[in-house]
Amino acid sequence: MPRCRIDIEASPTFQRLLREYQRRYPRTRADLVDAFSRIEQDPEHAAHATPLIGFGRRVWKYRSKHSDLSRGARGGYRIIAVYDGGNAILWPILLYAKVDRDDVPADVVKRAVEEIREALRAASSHDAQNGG
Amino acid sequence: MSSASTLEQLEARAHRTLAEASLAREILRHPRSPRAVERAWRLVTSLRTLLAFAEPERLEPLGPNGLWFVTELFQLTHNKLRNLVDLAAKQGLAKQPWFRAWTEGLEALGDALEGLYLSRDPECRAIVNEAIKELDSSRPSQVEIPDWRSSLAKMPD
Repeated sequence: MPRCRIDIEASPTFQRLLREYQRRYPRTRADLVDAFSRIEQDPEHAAHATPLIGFGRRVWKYRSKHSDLSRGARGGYRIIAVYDGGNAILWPILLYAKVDRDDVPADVVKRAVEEIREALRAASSHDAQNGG
Repeated sequence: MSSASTLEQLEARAHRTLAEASLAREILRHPRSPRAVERAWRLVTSLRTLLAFAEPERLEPLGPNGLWFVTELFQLTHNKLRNLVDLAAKQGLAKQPWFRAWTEGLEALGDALEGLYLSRDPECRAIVNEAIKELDSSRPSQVEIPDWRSSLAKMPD
């Protein structure tokens, strides 16, 4: 039984990045299946989970292997996600390969978190309007 | 522990690590010397101590100036270690066990730096935390969560 649910559809940016990587590297999906399978079991420890300082253990970074480039977790993909421990839900918001960038600028994270907030707000109001 | 005390301790540990990195350079000239190998491992120990001290719980209470200072210390340490790792790799020492420990330390420093770059930006920190607060109040638990395996499976190749 997974310890948390992972919503990979809520963030348009994550979806876009995922599609881009999948187009470039055919084994991206398999690599992420492997990573998410572990993360859903233990979101605070699996896949080299690291909480980003300053966000009260709500924004996490994970590492995943990059099979197409024969790279392990160290030089592989990075997944940035927002985690709601109370409701046990994880929203991946960013995905990048270590070969493409060393780190992610503050304004990119800022925009991604704002975007997921808007997306979830829209989904909530849509549910409310439909009696969900 | 007060923020001032945290900063003092962190500064002392970072300087210790930088000093150990200088001593560890001996391994580049004398890769088989027991003293040089010992110094290479002492750098690993020092790095691990520094990294263990830099936990989010300890760093989060620091204000923007404190975080800025910590970031600079980590950046200095990262630069020095990066240089050492590159030189050791060029000399064909990449298979040594201490080399692997050095690269792990370098990676961990890089991860810590990434978080620090984000959190030392007060505007980013405030906006992200505000967005998270709003996200909480939008009751996401009531929103249906699609199964991530199905989501991935339906993506076009």
